[in-house]
Amino acid sequence: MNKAHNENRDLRRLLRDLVALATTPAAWVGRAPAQIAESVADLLLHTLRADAVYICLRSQNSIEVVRDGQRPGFAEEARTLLSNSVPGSLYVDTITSPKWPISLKVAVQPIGISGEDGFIVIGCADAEFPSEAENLLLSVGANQAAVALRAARLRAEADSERNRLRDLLAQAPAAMGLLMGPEHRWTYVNDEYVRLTGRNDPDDFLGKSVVESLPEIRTQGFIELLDEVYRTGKPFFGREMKTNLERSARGLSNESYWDFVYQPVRDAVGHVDGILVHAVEVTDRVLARKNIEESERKYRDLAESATIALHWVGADGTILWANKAELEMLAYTAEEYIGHKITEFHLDSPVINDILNRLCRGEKLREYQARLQAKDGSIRHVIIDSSVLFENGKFIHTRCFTRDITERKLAEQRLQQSEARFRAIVETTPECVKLVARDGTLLHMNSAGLSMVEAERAEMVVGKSVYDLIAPEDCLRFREFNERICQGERGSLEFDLLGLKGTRRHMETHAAPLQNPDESLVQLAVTRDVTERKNAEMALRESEQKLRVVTDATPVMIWMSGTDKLCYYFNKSWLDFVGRALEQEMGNGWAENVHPDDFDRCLQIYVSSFDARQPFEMEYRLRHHTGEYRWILDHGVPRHGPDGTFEGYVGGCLDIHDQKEASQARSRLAAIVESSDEAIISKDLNGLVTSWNRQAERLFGYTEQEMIGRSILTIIPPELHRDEDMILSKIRNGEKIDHFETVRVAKSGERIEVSISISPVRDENGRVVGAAKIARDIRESKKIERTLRTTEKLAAAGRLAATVAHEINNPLEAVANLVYLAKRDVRDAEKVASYLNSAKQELNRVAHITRQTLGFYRDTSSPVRFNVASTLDDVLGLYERRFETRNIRVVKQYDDDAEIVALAGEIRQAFSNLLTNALDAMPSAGTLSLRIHKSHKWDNAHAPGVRIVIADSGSGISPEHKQNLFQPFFTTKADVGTGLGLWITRGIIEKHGGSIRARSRTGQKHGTTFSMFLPGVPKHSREQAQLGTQPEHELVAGD
Amino acid sequence: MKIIVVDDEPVIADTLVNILNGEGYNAISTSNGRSAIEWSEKFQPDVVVSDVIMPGLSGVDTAKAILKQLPNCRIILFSGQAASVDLVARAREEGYSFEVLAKPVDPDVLLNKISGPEGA
Repeated sequence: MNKAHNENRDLRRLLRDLVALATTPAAWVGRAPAQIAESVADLLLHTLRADAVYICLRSQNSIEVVRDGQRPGFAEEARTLLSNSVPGSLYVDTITSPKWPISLKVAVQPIGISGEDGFIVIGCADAEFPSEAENLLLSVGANQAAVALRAARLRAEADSERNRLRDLLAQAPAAMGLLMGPEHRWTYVNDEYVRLTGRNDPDDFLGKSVVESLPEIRTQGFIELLDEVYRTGKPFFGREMKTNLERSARGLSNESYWDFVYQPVRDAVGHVDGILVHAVEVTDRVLARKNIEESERKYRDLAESATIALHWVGADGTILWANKAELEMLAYTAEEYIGHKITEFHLDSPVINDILNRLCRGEKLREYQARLQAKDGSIRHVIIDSSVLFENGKFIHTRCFTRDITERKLAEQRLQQSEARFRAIVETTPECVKLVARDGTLLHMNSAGLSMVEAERAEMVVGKSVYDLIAPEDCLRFREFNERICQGERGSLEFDLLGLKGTRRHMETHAAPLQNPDESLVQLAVTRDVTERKNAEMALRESEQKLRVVTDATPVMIWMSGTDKLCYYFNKSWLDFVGRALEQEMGNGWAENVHPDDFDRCLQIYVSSFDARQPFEMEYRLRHHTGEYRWILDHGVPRHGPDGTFEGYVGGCLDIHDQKEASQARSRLAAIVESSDEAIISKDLNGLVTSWNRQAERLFGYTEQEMIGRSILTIIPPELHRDEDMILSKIRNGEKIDHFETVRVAKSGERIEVSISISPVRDENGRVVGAAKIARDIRESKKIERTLRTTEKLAAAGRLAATVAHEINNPLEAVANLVYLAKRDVRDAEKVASYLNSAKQELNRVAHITRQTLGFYRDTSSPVRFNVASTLDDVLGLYERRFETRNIRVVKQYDDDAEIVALAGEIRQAFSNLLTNALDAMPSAGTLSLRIHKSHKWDNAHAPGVRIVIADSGSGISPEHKQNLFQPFFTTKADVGTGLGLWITRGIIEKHGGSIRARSRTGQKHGTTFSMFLPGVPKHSREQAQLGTQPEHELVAGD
Repeated sequence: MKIIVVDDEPVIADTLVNILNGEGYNAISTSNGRSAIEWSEKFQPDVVVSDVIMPGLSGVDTAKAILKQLPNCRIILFSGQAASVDLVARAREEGYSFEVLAKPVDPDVLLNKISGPEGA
């Protein structure tokens, strides 16, 4: 039991120790071998409960670790043991020492294969040492130590390798760095890299990406190159690549040039995982070369593109180089010229030989004249400047600057020729050509001039003062003129010349300064005899003056133009009209006043007539000085001089504005009359037709020719001829007649219903001389009106039927229920009697309603006398229950004996319409007032009749609706109304010669009042008979 | 079964209540829509028989208001006027379907209607 317990305990300890041993190397990672050995020693001493431990390691430097606190000298004993025998595996022995109380059992455990890494020697007093478990622990410990040691060794090797490399890279003259990963993060940069990129510290790079560390190169294409290298694994070699780095802090130029390599770095399995950057700055080299290239290019460019011809000739006379200007001058290509002997191109061999000799002697040539042969055979005159480039006393080549002076040579020749020609011209010209010095001395005069001054020989005037030849009154002007010219001005002058023989001539001179060879200025003058012209001008001016006096006096506006079509004269009338000065009107100034809409047309007429030399006439609007445009009639004719030559145009204009306006107004009116949709007729006071428009022709069938001068009675039906007398008498009194509906007869005999308005026509003194009559065909609208009346009658009948149905159905419902109850309670005589009594009352109601309804269907074709109050009550009876259920109080105020003669059915309909309107106006509660009293017409106290007022206390009619109240199809009751009720009502009332008015208020004291007047006896007219009976027929026909 | 009869004609309302009570129903009458709605709350009728065209609230509006309180209440409308057709049609567009009888209604027909299944 106890033993088992002990074994268990040992096993647990063993396991714990094994675990401790197996996990410790993890803690040793990164430690040096000596530290590892110390740890192993401590561990074993503890786990094996040994008395002493000795460890020796065979690394570069041998390391010993000893734990012999209780057994001094154990290390020496262990060394002796190991030097005697080197075991390949665990070896056990016993050592004794005088320093120890008892001998020790010793286990020697090699570390690594055959102890290549070292040995562990453990001593223990326990005679049983080492037990099997202790053996196991010892060998595990040794093994773990070996692993840790090997790892430490490998790391040390790697470290030293890395340091070696780092030293190497740090010393490299190139900038180097190592980038890892696809983001190109620096894991290494050498100092040179740090310096050349303008940074201070490797920490500016390490761990950062290229973009983070060198943000300025982000856009310079290097990142893309790195990406490419990383992706493809192919190295990139850059040559003299330009970069811009922020490195001014280091005193380096930002712009720099680099030779560099991006070398991919691969991991163990060959994948690219980094890039080695190796860069050498070559900025100085590149810039130096660029400078040289640039200066070379500049000089070459300068020489090549110089406008002066250049060539270099070798010592043997061969052309070494020539620039573009030289080749162009002679028109050779470079191959045809360069490489050839210079003598081939010189026309004069003595000259070129002389040149070459002089140059060989070291002379410089200045403006040496020579002749060269161009490719096309022509001769070029040139002057040459040349010198030789010697280096170390050796003739390298000549440098020849050649200037082409061929043009100058030719110009000199031409000048000589033209001077001769000019002299000839001057001598033969009919005008005086002279040269005058500043002091007035005549220097030269041609023969024409000599004859003008009446000198037989030049000597008579040349060399003498020219002022003697000028008329005394012009002399001062001429002197000033001469001095002005001699100071460099140009100008012209008119003056009188006195010939040597006393003849006076009027001269016109044009003068310019001329430079003498001594650079002083003289007057060169060309002078013409304009005596004739002057005389003509004087005459013309005189006659124009006369003309102007005449034209300014006339009210006609006059203008004149010259042969250039430009106006140069406007008379006073014109200028007064436009309110402008002559200067403003001159030339084309007058056109500013022509109406823009007329301008193009006028200009076209003017120009085309002018070119054809034809007279023209045109009307246009010209702006009056008041700003108003007025119509002008302009008549232009060509002007001819006495000899028949065309001199321009003269035109006269009249203001025709008022006439024009009047005629336009007339034609506008005529157009309106003609195009009117209404017949427009005028007649005189005798009724004779004086005008007859197109619509009158269409409406009545008579043509204008047929009717003019004929009596208007032609179209009036015989029975209405009396009306015409009444109309004419009203017109004579200056009265108007508006919208008078009547009948006229067309040529075909057809009777036409028309609405006529007639107004008096007055002459300019305000006397009535006739009448204008507008007749509108109202047949169509009358027809529509009749149809509408019928429609409304049917609708009214429908509404009535609906009302009646309700009024009858309710009593019937009650009766049905009462009969059912009577049947049910048949044994209770008292109850039955009560039911039947109620049923009888209900049936009376039905009978009453039926009687009232019948009133609407009585024959209404002829008027009858009836009592107004009882008729209104009949109609009211139909709606009584509806008034009651709506809580509407009915207030009556009747003249009970008021009677009228009328169509009773129609009057009932009118009342019914007004009562239903009142009903609709008061949906719940209100007062209906009904008043009937004997009265007379509003405007005629002698026309007796009856006034009926039906007033509700509804919400009233808004003012904007009120004006449409009696119009057909006007309704505010979209759901139930036809919009015809009031229109029909008015029709009925007016047909009976009565009238109806509505008053309405909204807001406080609201309500609507309809007030009707019906005459006691209706007036009998044909119209009423006609219009009154027709709808009844149509109702029957349509039913 | 409890019934409210609504008609502005007292003769019709009273005789109908008399007939219905005689057949064993528990019927009361009222003369306008407003009081019908008030009575419905207290009386909790199973059926409401109402005229359509009445002063104040129409039968249709009354029925709608009662259905809001008593969704299971049965409504039977009766009317003697053509205009009521429009009101009922409009109510149908709003989703109400009422049984409608034309006045005059034979009391036997009305009784059959009330005792029979809804919509028959």
